[in-house]
Amino acid sequence: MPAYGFYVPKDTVVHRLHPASKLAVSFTPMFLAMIVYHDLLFNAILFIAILAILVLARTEWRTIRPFLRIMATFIVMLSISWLIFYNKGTPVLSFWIIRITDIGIIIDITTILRFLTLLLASVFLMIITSESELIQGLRTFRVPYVLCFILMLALRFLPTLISDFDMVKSAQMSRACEFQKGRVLERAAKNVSVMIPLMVIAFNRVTEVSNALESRGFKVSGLGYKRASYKQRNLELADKCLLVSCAVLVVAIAILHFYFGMFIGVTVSLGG
Amino acid sequence: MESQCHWAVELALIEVTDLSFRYPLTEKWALNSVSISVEKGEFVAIVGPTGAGKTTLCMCLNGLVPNNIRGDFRGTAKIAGLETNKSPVADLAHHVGIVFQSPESQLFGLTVEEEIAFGPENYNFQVQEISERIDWALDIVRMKEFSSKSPYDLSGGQKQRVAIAGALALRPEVLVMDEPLTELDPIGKSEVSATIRRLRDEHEITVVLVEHETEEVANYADRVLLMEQGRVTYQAPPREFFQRTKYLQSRGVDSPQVTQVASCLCDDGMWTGALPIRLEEAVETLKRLSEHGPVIHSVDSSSRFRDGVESVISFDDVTFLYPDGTEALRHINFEVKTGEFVAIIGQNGSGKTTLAKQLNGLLRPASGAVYINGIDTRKATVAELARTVGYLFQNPDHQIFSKTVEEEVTFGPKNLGMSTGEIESSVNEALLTAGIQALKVQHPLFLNKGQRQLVALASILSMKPQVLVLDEPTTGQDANGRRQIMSLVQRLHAAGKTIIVITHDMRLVAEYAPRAVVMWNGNIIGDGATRTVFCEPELLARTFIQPPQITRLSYQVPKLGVALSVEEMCAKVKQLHKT
Repeated sequence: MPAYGFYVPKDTVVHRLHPASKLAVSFTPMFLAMIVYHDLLFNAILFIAILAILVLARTEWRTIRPFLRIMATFIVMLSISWLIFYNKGTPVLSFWIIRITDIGIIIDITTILRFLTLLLASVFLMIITSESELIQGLRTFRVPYVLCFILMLALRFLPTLISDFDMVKSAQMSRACEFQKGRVLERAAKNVSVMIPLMVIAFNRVTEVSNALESRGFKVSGLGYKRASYKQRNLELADKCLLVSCAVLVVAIAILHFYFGMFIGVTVSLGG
Repeated sequence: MESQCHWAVELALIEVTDLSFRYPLTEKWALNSVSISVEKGEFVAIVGPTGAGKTTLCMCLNGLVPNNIRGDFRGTAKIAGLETNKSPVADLAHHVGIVFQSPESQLFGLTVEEEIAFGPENYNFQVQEISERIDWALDIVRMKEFSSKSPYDLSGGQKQRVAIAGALALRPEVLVMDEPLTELDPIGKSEVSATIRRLRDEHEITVVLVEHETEEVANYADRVLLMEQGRVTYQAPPREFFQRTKYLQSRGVDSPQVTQVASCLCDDGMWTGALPIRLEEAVETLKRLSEHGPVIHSVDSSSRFRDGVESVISFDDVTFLYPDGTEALRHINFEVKTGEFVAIIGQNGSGKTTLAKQLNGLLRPASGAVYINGIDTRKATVAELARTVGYLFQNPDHQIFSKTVEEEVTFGPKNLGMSTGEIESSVNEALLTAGIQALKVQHPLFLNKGQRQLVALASILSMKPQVLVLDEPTTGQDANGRRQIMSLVQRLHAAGKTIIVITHDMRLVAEYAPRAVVMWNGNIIGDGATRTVFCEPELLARTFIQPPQITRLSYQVPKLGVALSVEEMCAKVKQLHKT
């Protein structure tokens, strides 16, 4: 049975980072791409930066390809819609009712770069961070243990839930239930035959898991209960520097953008 | 002060007095004035039929009952001087470790190491201390090299060993294990069993073990308790305990097979003295008893190669790949004739289930072809194949969803598009065959596990399949439940159905299935009459399958030939003795 998850263990500078730094490294480009929308140069630099990080993490093309393939249609749609519906600026090409303008092209490219940055940064987080490290990272940022624990249980039991779902579906298919056939209402009724067993199993499992948890001394007494954390790594100097620079970068660019009107891009400067 | 300490040593570690417990909204007492005491260092095993209250007793020992699972609680349960109903479970947890039946539901760490750290972390130990405990616990269960793996990637046996280590990491005085072997494959069973034996021999820990497999119990318990209907009705050291073989059988507990054979011979006055409880104890006497007379050649009454009978299932060079590219089936050629009874055996991951799922099109071959009654499965839907092949999944909870038993059983025939008259007659027939007509209007979820299993079986039978595929039909059942379901299967077989059973239960294979197919690593490496397959200990050893105790006993007394059941062995010895 193949394991669930996208994490690919490797030994690179990036992989060796403290989990908190990994979170920072992937969230910083995401924030920046969200703050700054229409500046081609800025977003191009950001895109190149995330590519550089991926190269540094020795990411293979085949790891990223499936994600891009899923998003490909969306990217194409996005790109066409900007080209067609943005009609300010000098027309470069016009036929019938469609006017493709120079600014439209620039914004189109910028938007795609932004989108790719967001996508690659999330992919980057998924492939360099194990589930366990994700929790450690969140813990470092002082996210309450109980919340982390819930996330951890969800991550742990997701594959189990998926295999339960497959099992129930196979069992009902073996009873000649055809999920694809029939009218909408009939199909909905068929899904009941999957949902009910799945709920019963999940409910039983919740009881079992909570018994097991309590038997190991787990107690939920509010959000701030004191508990050792075996896996917690201390932040090293390099990690601290990285975290601080990420924070400074985000804050600085936000201030420059919102208060000093930098990185506005073509829209405003060309009188949009 | 000194006298007080002395007194504390004398006191039993577990002291249960007049304990009764009733779950909310139920009439019956799950525990009915149970009194037991367990000394420090003792190894106590609990046996008894399903529903006897064994699990409830386990959960009383660490306070889950009544702290977490509330109900009507009377009497006292004291562990290391703490009254369980007055101490929170978290306070009791470092006195009592508990391991449950299902490995899947008791592991929540994302890595093995974190899993074991979980308990100590809850008690806020120093990191250094936690890491020492992890090393210590992993060493006991021999899982050190897996410390950074995800529990999800481990085999059942490995998961269960991690669960044991997780419980041990709190260094409890008592370890309670509730059927830790039940859900495991043969490799897993022997791994966990070896771990339990090591706990007993090398570590001073008090153990309370609930277990169906009396052969295991005979190997390591100091004392065995029989529980039935919420009461402890009999307790003794194993040697004494299993002497009352017939009594135990009438209570739904099978003694080790060697004990059963000796007890049977005892009736004819052929066995004198105490009954053996372990295999090696029976060998000498049996050799002596079979000294005279000719060598017995076992002849198989059921010849499977019936000429002229059509194949209902045929695999033609079938290969199947998982999405990640691993080969689950490699060039399988395999045929089943109408009316055969075949057991498919092998470890988890050997390809048994993948093979079975090819039978009704849930999976289809990547290359080669599977024919069911001449129909190529690649050209038929699962629903079409369901007319011929009924597939019963292991856990009835994976398919039961209706409000009444009758509705549940009607689901399949309706999907097949049978006429109303046809549906009614086939549903009634299925309910009758499964012996559950009386439950017709009941809600299936309020039935017990054995009954739900029968409902699931009836819901397959109502589709009138010619072939019945049963996935682990006896897992988690006690001796009576097992007999009930298997005699039903035997009746179906006698009525002309072709039966295919996937199972880890070698006694089931030996006693019921005339043909056995051994799978290993996606290949069929043994296929033939069960007797012939069980004649090849090397083949079985290579796949880590252990034949039933009675068969292993017969290996050591070659003159008797290979025996598959207690009855057979008894008959053979008697026959020899007469001559």
